Amino acid sequence: MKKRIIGMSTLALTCLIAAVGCGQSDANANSTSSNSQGATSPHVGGSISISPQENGPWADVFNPYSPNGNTSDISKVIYEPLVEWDSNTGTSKAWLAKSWTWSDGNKVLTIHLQPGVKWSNGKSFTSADVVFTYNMLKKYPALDSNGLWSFMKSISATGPDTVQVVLKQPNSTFFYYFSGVPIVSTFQFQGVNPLTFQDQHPIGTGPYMLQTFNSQQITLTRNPHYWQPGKPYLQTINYPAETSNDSTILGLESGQIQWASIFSPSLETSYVKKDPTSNHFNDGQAPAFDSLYVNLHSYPLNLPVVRKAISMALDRSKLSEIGESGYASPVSSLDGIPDSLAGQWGTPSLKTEFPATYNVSMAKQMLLKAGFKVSGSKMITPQGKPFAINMIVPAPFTDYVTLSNQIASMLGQIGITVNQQSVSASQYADDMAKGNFQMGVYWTPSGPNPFFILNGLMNTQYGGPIGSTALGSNYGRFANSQVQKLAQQFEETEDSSTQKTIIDQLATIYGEELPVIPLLDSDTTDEYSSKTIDGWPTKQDPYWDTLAYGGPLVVLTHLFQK
Amino acid sequence: MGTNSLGQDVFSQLVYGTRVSLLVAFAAGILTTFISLVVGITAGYLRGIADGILNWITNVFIVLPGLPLLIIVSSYWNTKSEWPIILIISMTSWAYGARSLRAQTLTLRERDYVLHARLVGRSWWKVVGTEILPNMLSLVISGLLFSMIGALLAEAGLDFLGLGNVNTVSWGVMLYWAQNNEAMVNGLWWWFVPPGAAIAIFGGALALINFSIDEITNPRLRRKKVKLNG
Amino acid sequence: MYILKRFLFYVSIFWAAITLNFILPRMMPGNAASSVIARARGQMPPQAIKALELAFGINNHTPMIKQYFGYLWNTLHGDFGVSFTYFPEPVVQVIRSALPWTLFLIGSSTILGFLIGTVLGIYSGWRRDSMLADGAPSLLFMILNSIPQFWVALVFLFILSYKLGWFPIAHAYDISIPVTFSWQFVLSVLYYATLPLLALVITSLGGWSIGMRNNLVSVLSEDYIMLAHMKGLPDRQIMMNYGARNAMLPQITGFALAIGGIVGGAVVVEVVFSYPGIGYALYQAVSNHDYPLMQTIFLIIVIAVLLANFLVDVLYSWLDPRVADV
Repeated sequence: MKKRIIGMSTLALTCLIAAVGCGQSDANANSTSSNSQGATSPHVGGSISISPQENGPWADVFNPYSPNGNTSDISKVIYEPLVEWDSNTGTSKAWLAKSWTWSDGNKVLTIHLQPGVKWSNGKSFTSADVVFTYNMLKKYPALDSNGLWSFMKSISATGPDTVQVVLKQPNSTFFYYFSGVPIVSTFQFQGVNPLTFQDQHPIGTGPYMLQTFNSQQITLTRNPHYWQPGKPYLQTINYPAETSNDSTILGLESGQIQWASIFSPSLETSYVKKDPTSNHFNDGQAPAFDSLYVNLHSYPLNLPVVRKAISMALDRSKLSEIGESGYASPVSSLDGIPDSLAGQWGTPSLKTEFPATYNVSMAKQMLLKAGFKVSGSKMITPQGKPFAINMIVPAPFTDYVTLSNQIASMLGQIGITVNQQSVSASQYADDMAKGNFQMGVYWTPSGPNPFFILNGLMNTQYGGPIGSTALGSNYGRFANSQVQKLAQQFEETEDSSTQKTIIDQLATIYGEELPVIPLLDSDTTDEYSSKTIDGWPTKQDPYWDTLAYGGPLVVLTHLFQK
Repeated sequence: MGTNSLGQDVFSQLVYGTRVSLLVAFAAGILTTFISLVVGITAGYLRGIADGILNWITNVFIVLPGLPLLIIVSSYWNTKSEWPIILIISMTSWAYGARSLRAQTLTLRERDYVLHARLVGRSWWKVVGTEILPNMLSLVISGLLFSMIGALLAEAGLDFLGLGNVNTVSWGVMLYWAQNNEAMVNGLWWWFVPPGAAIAIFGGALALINFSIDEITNPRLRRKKVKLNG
Repeated sequence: MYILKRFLFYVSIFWAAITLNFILPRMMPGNAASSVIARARGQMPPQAIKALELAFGINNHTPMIKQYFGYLWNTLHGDFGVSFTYFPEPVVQVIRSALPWTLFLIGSSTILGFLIGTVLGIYSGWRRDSMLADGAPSLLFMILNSIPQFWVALVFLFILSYKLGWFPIAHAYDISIPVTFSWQFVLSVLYYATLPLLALVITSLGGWSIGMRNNLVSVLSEDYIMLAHMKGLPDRQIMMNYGARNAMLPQITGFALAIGGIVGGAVVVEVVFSYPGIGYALYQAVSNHDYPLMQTIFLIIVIAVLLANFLVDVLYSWLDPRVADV
C-alpha cells in the first residue's frame, strides 16, 4: 500500500473563532475560479473520471456511516455535511448550514440552514432531518465515531431552518467534529438499522446522485434538484475501481482518469511532463506529522534527554528524501506545530528554542552526559545494559518501512541497537493503541489548529492504561498535569488570542519533554488534468484543497467541461 | 544491473537475497521431508490405530488448500526472521510426501528381507533404518527436491504479497518492493526481472537434478540411448 | 460401502477444516477495527476505533465455545454474516460477484493447460529419442514449472501491456461497456483475460506435459505394447489406442483434483492483474482482518477440493474395482 496522507476528515475550528463570520463566503467562490483560465464559461455537461485512492472492487453500499472505501470517497458526494473543511489549510466553508452562532457561555449552538435545499427525490430538506441524523448517532453509538454525544446534551429543531444544540460543557473542539457529519434523510433512514443498512438507492442533498452501480465502476449523475443554482456543471462522474497504483498511474497518463490522490514519486515528472499545461501535480501540506512514537513507560525511553538525543541523531532530510521521495518535508522545529499552521499559530521564539537539529556527535555527548557509557560501538545504559529498542514496522506501508529502516541505521550510529519487527497494518494500529510497543513510526492527529495535535498527543484522556485501547493518539502514555489544566482552559475559551497563548504553553511543554519525536510534515499528493475539465483551484486562486477523496464537494461544484 | 528507486544496488541485493531464499528453500525442504518421513514411515510401519490417526491427519492436510492456508497463517505470524515462513511452508506441504512414503513403507514391510529382519527380532527402528529407509532413498530425495522448489515458490509468493518479512532482502521481498514502488510503470525492469529469473534458474536446476535422479532410479524413464550405453 | 466410508471420511475432514477455519482467524493479532484505522492512515480520528469495534461486534465477551457452536450452526445454515471490508454488504453478495470471474479465468486456464500439456506430453513421450521432441521441451517445461506464476505475469504485463500497449493492465473487462451479455462485452472479457490466461497456461503446461510423458513412457514399456508391436500394428494406432489411453488415467485424476483447486487457484496472479476474483477477495480479506469473508472463502475452497476428491474416489472405484477392497 502506498502512502496516504493525513487530511482533516471531519473538522475545523477556524470558523468557530470567527463564529458567524465565515457563514457567507460561498457566493464569490464560484465567480473567481474559472476566470483565471478565461477559456469557456461553466455550463452543464461533460464527465470526469476520478480514482480517489487505491480501492478494491466497490461495495454496493452507499450508507455514509459505513466504514469502507465507497463511504469516504463516494457517499460523501451524495450526502452533505453542515460545513466543509479544507484539508490543507483548515479553513471552513458553510455548506448545508448557512451560518451559526454561539450563546449562553458557549454552551448553546444555533444553526441556520440553507433555505430551499431539496433531497434528490425532490422532497424538502428541513431541520427535522438534521435533528434526526444526530439523534440517530445517539441511538447507535457505533455510528458516532467522533463521540459527539459525549459533549452534547440535546439537539432540537427551533424552526424549519434552525437547529439548536445544547452542550454539557463549553467545548471549543466540538464544532470541528460536529459539523462534518453527513446529513441523511428522515424518510430513508427511519425504521432501518443504520448499522447494517446498505443504502443501495441513496437519496442525498449532494450535487450528484447514483446512476449505476457495478463493482468495477460507480457512475454518479447530476442532481437536478441541487440547492446551489445551476450547479453542478459536470453531468456525470465515473469512479473506476482502481485496485493498484499502477493502473491509476497509467489511467492518469493516458487521460482516462482526470483526478486522483495517490502517492507516486514518478508522477511529478512523468505525468506533468507529458502535458505541462494540462497535467497538474499538487504536493500539499497537511496539518500533521509523520512521527516517531516511543513508549514512555519503557526505560530508558522515559527520559526526555534520551528522546532528545534520538531526535538529534536523525537526519530528517535524508528520511524525507528516501522515505517519502522528498514530498513530506523535514520538520524544522520540535514544538509540535506543523508548517502549514505555523503562519497563524506558530511563534518564532519557540521555533528557535526547539530546533530540529541533526548532530550525531552532540547526540552521543548528550547520552554520555546523562550517564550512558560506550562499550565498543554499543551504547550502555546507566543501568548497565546494552541500549536496545524493539521497533514495530507496518509491513504494508512501504514508506514507513523505509523510514524505520533508515531510523534503525541512524540510531545505530550512536550505538543504539534497533530490532525491527514487521507486523500487519492491523496489528500495528492495535499495538500502538494498546501501548504494546517500544518504538514505531506513526501519524499524528490533525486539525485546523495545533491544539488538536498537541492535546491529542499529550492529554492523558487520549492514552489510558497500557494494554487498553487508547481513544486518541497518546500512544506513548504521556502524563503531565499542566497539559490537563491547559487543555481544559482551551476548551472553555472561544477567544483566539487566549487560545494562541495556551497553544504556546503546550508547545513549550512539548518541546521540552518531546513525548513524540516529529519527523516530517505530512503531505498530500494530488493529480488532476485540466485538458477537458476546467474550474480547478489554481496558484492564483487556490480556493480549495485538491484532494480527490473524502467527498470533494467544493471542487466538484466548481468543475466544468471546457 | 543498476539501482532501484530507493537508491539500492539491485545486483548486491540479488546476491544478498540468495542467502535468504536458499535458506528458506533448503530449510523448508528438509523440514518438510523430515515430517513426511516420520509420519509416513511410522504410519506405514506400525499400522493399526496409529496408522489410522496419522493417515487421517495426512489426508486432512492433503485436502486443505495449501496456498490459502499459507496466506492466512502467515498473515498473523510476527515476522522477525525467516523461520515462521519456513515452519508454515513445512506445516502445509508435508502431507503428499507422507502419503507416498506410507504407501512405500506398506509394500516394503511385507518384503521377504524385511520380514526376515523383523522375525530375527530386530527393534523396529533398526528395521526401518537399515532395511526400509535405504530402499526408498530415491523417493525421499525426489520429495526433498520437490519440496525445495515448492518452498522457493511459496516464499516468493508470500513475500510478494507482503506477508513475509519485508525487512530482509530475499528474491521475493525484492519483488514486493519493486511492485510497491511502481517499478513497472517507471520502466525499472532491472528491478523485478532479475529476482524472478534467479528463482527460475535455481528452481529449474533443482528440477533437473530431480529429473536425472528419476532417470537413474526408474529405468523405464531412461532414454533408449542411455540404455544402450549403460 | 466403500463410497459410504469415503463419504464419512470427507465429512470428518470437512469438520476439521471448518474448525481450523474458526480457530485460525481468532489467533490473528489485531482486528478489523484497527485494520480500518490503519487503512485510513490518519483520515479517520483515532477515537473512531471505539465506534468501529461496536459496529463490527468486536470485543463482545461471548465464551469461545458458544461462539464456536454459533459458528457451526450458522455455517451449516449458509449464514455467513456481513463482510467487514465491504461493510455492511453480506459475504454472500461479495462472493457472488467474485466467484464467476475466478471460475472463468482459472477454469479456462486449467482446461487449456491440461489439454495442451497432455498433447505435448504424448508427443514427447512417443518421440522420446528425439532431442527436439523430448529433450529440449522437457528441459524447458522443467524450468517453466519452477518459475513463480506471478513473476511470469509481471513480465508479460511489463512487455505486452506497458511497453507495447497491446493488453490492458487491470480490470476484468472494459468498464465503459455496460455489463450485459452483448458481443461487445463478451469480447472485452476475453480480451482482458488474455494476459492472465497466458501466464497461467504457460506456467501450468509443464506439469501436465511431463506427467503425461512419464506415464506414457512407463506404459509403453509394458508387455502388451511389445505384443502390439510384434503383431505389426501401426505405430500411430499403438500410441493412441494402447499407450495414451492407458496413460491418461492418472492425468484425468490430476485434472479432477485441479478442477477442485480452481477456486483457491491463483491468488497472487489475481492480485497482479487486479482481477476481481475470489483470490483477490481472499487477499483483501486477509489484509483487512475480514474474518467472515476469509472464513467463507476458505470454506468454499475446501468444499470444492473435497467434492473433487470424492468424485475421483467414485470414479476410481468404478474404473478399478480393486481399490474398493483396500
